[in-house]
Amino acid sequence: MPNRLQIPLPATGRASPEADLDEADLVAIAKRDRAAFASLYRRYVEPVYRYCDRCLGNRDAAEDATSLIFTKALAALATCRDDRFRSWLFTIAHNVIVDMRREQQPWEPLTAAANLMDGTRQRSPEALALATDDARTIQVLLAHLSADQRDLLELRLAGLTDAEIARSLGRSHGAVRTSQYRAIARLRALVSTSTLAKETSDDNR
Amino acid sequence: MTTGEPSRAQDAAGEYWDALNQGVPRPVVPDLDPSLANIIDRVRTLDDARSPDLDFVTRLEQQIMESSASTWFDLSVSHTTLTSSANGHREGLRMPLSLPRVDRPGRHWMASLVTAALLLLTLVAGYAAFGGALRPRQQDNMLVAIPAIEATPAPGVTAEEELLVVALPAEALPHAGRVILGLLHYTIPPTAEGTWPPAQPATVCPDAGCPGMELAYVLEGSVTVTAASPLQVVRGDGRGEAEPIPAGTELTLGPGDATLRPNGTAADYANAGATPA
Repeated sequence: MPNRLQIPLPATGRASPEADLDEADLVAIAKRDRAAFASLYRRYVEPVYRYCDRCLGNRDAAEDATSLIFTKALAALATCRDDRFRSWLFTIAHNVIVDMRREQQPWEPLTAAANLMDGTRQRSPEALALATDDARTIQVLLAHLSADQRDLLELRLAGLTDAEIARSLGRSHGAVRTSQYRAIARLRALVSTSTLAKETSDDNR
Repeated sequence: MTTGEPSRAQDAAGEYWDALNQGVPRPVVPDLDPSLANIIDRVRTLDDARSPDLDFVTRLEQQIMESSASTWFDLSVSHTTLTSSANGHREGLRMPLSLPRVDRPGRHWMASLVTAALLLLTLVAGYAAFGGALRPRQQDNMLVAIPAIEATPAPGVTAEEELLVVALPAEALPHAGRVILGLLHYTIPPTAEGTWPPAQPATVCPDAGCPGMELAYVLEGSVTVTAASPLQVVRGDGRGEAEPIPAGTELTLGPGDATLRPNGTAADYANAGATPA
């Protein structure tokens, strides 16, 4: 059975013909008519930007990354499967982020979070809890995970399903679920430790 | 299972987060450890990623779409030379179609030059820009000369090769409005089919199917075309003779073959071969 790429023609005079099209149709149209890429851009610029900001923690870097991601996406659109645009786009996004992280100095929140877990500093549970309270952001939590687990949860927070994450990261669905489970369990242990330390601290006052 | 974690617990956590990402407010997933669900909820709550500035979103869209529109050539008056024909003969439009040539033996340069194999050159028209400069009565005596299309040079590109020269009858030309030339590359994967509808590039021809002509040129592979309108085919055998083809006829095109047909009509394209076309 051959693939059938039936491209619907938007009706004349409609204010926003792409609103009625599903994503695969939009991708197919954008491959022929690059002007249609604007609809995909508008649909994804916010989650892509937020993903970049979450990963890079810097507005300028997030803007640079977002620009690069959509430029690359437009240039390579012909290689995208019509029904897998989101995971394909976030594959590009992930690769751009990896490249930019290599070039970037560690940003402050990540450095601070890493210090929290630095065993050589011999922080007490109380200090850990207080410090975590001071900087209880998603970046602090994610900084306690391995790079693979962090990549995965960042894509999770971008709205991808675990099947899409598997495609984006080039891993099996089962491997993603295993890694995700471990990441969540790790965070649970961390939060439990922080909470216990906080309660202990409060009791001693 | 070698990981030591219960598979069902992993699946449950994945299903829970999938449901949240798909907009289910409070998913109910059997076998999900409530403490894991609590952590997932907490992580999502803590997500403090910022939204982009509206100015940035608008500016980036403009930049991207301007760059994507660079393959459309606006042939309004300032880019078009209008001259009277010396002998009054209706010469029409001459379109030399050139592509950069890669310095490689044989014709394999095409494969590395463009991933696309089916090249569509479409001449379309709107109704605004020419204004009084090109009135229908004058058009019979005018030759519209359009500069050759030159792709952006790529590394290794050293020369150009003229693929095809087509003389269009004056009747086929737009009689008023803005004249736009578009150069598009397409790859049709093996076993894929597609319908090419009337041209409707939203940025240049928003109101109706654009009038004009469409020239399709096959760079490599094999493509079958069934058009809703009559067309002409020029085979790549060097004879340069245009053969008329009735509407609804299935036509098989190979490398170097070209078709010419009215722009505002549909055609089905298919690649029945084993390689991309």
